[in-house]
Amino acid sequence: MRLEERLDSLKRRVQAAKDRGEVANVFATYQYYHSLIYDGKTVEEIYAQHQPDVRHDWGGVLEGLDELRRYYVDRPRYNGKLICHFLANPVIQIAGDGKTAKGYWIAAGHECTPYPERPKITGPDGDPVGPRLEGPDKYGIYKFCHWVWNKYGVDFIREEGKWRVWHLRTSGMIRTHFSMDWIDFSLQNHIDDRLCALATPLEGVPSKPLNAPPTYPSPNPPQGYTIAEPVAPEPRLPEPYESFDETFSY
Amino acid sequence: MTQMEQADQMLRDARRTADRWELESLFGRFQYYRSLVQGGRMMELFSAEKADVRIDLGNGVIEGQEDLRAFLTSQKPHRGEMHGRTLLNPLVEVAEDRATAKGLFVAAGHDTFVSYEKPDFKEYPFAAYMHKDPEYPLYKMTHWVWYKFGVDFIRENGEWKLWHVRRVEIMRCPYDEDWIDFSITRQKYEILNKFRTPWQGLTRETCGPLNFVPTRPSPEPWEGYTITRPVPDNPRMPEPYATFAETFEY
Repeated sequence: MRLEERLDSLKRRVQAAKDRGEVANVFATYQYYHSLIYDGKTVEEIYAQHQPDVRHDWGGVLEGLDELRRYYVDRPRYNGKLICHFLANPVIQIAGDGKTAKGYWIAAGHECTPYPERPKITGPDGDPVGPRLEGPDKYGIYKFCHWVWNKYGVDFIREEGKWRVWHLRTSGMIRTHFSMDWIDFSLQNHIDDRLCALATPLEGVPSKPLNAPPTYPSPNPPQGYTIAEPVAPEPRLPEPYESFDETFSY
Repeated sequence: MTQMEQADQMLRDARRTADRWELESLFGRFQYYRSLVQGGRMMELFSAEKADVRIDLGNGVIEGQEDLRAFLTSQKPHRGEMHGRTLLNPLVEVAEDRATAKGLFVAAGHDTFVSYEKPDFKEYPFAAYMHKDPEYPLYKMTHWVWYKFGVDFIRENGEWKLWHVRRVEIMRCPYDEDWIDFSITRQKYEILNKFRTPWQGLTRETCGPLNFVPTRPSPEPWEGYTITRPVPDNPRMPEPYATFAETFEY
């Protein structure tokens, strides 16, 4: 191998190693913003700005920057609201051509929101959590306080030299009340889903960000934990690839 | 760009990329020694040359070589004591000059203290939280605890060292009481701890290891999860920087 070829090969390997760290930082920042309920910054700073099919699939798909803004911007930031989805188990693959990357993570975490009184489900101040709330507890607080583990599959794209989230797919692993196991919760959640549906106006859900209806249904909706099915291998693990047309999209 | 310039650029990129993994390992060691209550080994990870080495615990800063060593080495392990600290969500930025670096991490974990005798608060920093077991003849504390850590690293004689560590508690609660309720319950324990502290003032002789005497107050005091405030943006996320003079200190 000539010196130029060796240098070129070395350059690509160094760049891929550097990219891996940058991609990890981008998705860590996504989760820090989410935990601070700074989701509005996510659309401008984390998501791709020049891809019409930029999207987040969390069971329904939001596609395009305007749709993402509808979901992320002005999310309510209550006193005591805490969202922790912090990343473990990274599997990151940089494309051979260096233009895109794929990542898979598990987030171990928890979420809570305390409410001084039972929140309304509908209307401009409505909160879709509704029937999932516990309470009032011994201090008279309505709340949900959940353990939450999620899986994430992410396509990244390099835009103007910066890595951006292009396609994000979120899949629940387990969710449960602080003091309930996730088997029982999965059964209770089935009932709560129907209570939420019952509480939702027939004409559609209000425009509250957390109630944002998706742009279109998820092509392969993640179920979260259920005792009725084996654990779904979703999102898939990335595999080595040269250019994006060789691989799948999250 | 000449071949020599290309090679120089690659070398810089390769070194900064390698730095990232060294820094994650360094802070992983810090948490490993913490889990084993090996304060002396933790001290070895800090800069030996900087006068302002410090740990900011939110309720006080321990700063300087002497104070930090006294604090870390004053903690002795007890039978059954355990501190689980698992690092998640690393966000690491190495300065362009490679003299310093910054990291933000989350530690998911748990704390355990257990004693056959009624615990003395000078011996057990969380004595107020230790309850008599209803079944077995022992006193115990078994808590879930999640922290955020902001860290400034410095390169000293070619080796990365800890310089400033800022720890902010995300949430803490007993295994069977959620963190919303515990944020209210714990106030009585904090009052008990203060009540047991000699009124003449704090000294190292009269206080237990975590009822410590801080070198100075924390610049952004934080006593843990509360339902009365939004989650604080503290420690802040690091951003890319060239030299330490351009950025903030943890």
